[in-house]
Amino acid sequence: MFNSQDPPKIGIPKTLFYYAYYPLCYKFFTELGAEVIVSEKTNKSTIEAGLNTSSNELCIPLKVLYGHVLYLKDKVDYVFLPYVISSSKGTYYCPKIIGSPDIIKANIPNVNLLSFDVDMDNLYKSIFSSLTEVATKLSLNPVKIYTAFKDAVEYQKKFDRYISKGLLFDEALSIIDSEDGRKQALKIIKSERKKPVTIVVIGHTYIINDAYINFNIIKKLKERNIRVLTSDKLTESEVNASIKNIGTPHWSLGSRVLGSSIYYSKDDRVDGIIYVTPFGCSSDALIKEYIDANIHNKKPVLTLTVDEHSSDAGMITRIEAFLDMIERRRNTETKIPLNNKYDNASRKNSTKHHETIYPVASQPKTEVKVLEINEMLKESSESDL
Amino acid sequence: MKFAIYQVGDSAIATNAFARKIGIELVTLPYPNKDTISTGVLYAPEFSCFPFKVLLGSLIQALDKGVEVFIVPKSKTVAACQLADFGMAQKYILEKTGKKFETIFLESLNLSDIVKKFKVYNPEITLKKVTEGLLAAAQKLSLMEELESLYRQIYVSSKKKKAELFRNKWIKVIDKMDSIVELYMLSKRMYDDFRKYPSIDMKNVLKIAVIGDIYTINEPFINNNIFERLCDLEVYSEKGISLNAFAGLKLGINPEDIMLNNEVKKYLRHNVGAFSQDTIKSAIHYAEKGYDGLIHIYPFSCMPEITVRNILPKVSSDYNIPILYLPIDEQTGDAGFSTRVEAFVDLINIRKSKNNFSTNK
Repeated sequence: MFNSQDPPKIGIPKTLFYYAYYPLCYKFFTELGAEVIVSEKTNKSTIEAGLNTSSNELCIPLKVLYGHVLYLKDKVDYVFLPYVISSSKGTYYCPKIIGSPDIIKANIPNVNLLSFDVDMDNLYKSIFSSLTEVATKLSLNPVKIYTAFKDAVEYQKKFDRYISKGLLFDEALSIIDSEDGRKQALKIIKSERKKPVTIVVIGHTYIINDAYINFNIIKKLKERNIRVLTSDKLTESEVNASIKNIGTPHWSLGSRVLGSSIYYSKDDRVDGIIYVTPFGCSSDALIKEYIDANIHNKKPVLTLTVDEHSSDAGMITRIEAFLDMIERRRNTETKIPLNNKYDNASRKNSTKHHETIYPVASQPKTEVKVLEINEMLKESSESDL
Repeated sequence: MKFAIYQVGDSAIATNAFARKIGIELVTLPYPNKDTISTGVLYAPEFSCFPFKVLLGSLIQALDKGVEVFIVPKSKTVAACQLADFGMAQKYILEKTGKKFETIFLESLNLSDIVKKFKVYNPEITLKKVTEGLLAAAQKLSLMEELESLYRQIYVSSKKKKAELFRNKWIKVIDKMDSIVELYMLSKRMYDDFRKYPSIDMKNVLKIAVIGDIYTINEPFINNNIFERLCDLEVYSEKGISLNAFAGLKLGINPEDIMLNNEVKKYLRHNVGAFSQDTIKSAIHYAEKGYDGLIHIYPFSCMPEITVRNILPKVSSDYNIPILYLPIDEQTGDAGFSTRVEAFVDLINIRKSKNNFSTNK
């Protein structure tokens, strides 16, 4: 399709919206005949390259973005980095994300960015003007761009269906092109459902899917025979439905975090929620207050703050302590409400039967201990005599 | 029933005028102090931006004074940034501590909307009163801004005492005056009084513009009195953004300056939140005006200003103007702050004298 002999190479950094819209971008550019190159998975050298070029107030996802762009810079003709402004009416992405192409342009010299606006606040205007912009930049026929975009949207929808069934990003990406993809997906989901404990990992999509930033939390949980769901699983309408009564927060990513935590707090199959947030993310800081107020302590929540200085051992300790706590909660016959101040139903029941609710399993243990101590005291007093 | 609204610097003078016109009792909160910050930090989430912590602290102090209703601005555009979530988050945090109050969300400066919201508390409120109140408040804000600028000029040319006398005198006049016609005449009278003081030699004095986050620039306690510090060092300083910007009025820079707007879009294509594009706009504006340096001041974890902070180095090299970056939070020390400002002023002083020397030759 291209005029010149060599198809242009377009690089996609493996961070930020790669984890949400990679299939769309991939299909769109390959349909146009371009070659798509994706940067390496985030690793130590990515982060180091980012740290050397960025200012220290930036949050880790943006520092990582520097590294990815530096990796791609000399390998491709264009680095694809759009201005992602909003995903639905009245909610916006974080300022750093909206301005990320400008930040990259100002700090990395000689980088050829391919960027256009993605603004769902006024979708049609932005999509048409954006695609025309791409057409002029790559010197292509605009009609071809529109058909390619249509195909790409279909491809993305197929991918989203797998994600909404409960597949993780990597799993969905591996089966999306195979013919019996549905069968494989069902197989994965069936084997996952057999697992005894279910934990939801909540956070921004580029945090929970980037194994290096979140210290491989999903793999760590899976190794311990735990079914992992993520906040990506929910569709936009499910998120909106669960925050309908509260009013949407200002941030698109924040409303997904809030919506999914409320949605899963009502789900009986879910045992706990792990919330991963980058250090210094002030949009998440206020969202945490929303979550605390609306989840009413129905589910145990572990908040993990990550940055380039956190260590693997610290993460493991905290995750293991959290899992132990969940295990103990499951083993007690009566489930203790974490905070019965909010839970009126359990309060009524407890007054009705005149039972005090406490962990049954631990009751005999303490008695044994008391007996042992008494005997020891006796022995010691006898020997003293 | 007692009301309270966010206060920034001397903004209470404007908001009180509005409250008097529409007939509600608005409590004037004290200026933020160490207690305000420590209460705010105690209850606020760790990574929330510094203005949120300070405003939360002052709202808790307001509750102790018997305030029952908070008026919270809340807009639904990209420019709202964190402010859109302030009201709800504060409500959740304070409800946890068992405090009870009502919140009025002002979504825009829509007059009929304001009338509707306040009618519950004061049935006599009319559209005319609200319009008058807003006009008086806006005029008072711009008068305050002019006064601040004159105060800084007198501070540099004469002494601190004279400047303070001048300011205190006029603040009282502005505060008491409620007639809109007279308020519009006041500016001329203020300038007439100002001409009695010796003027500063604009050619040789060092000129610095302080740009950045609107709250940090306009709240003297939070920015460690940066303007007075600069005056002490005999530097003529100007605000990159004043509170008028919040009321929809912009002094100094013409908002329809198309050339400047296009120049800004080269650096930051979209307004990413708050006054991010305006910060770059004022940086370019003052660089072109021949200022000797810029100070970029912003709270730690302020997202729009951090975005801008990462773009400003490019502006700095393109326009050949030094910039000092000062992030601020509850742990900013007085000594460290003044050391950095003094060193920066020394540096641009040397730079200026070198430039003068080479041009004279």
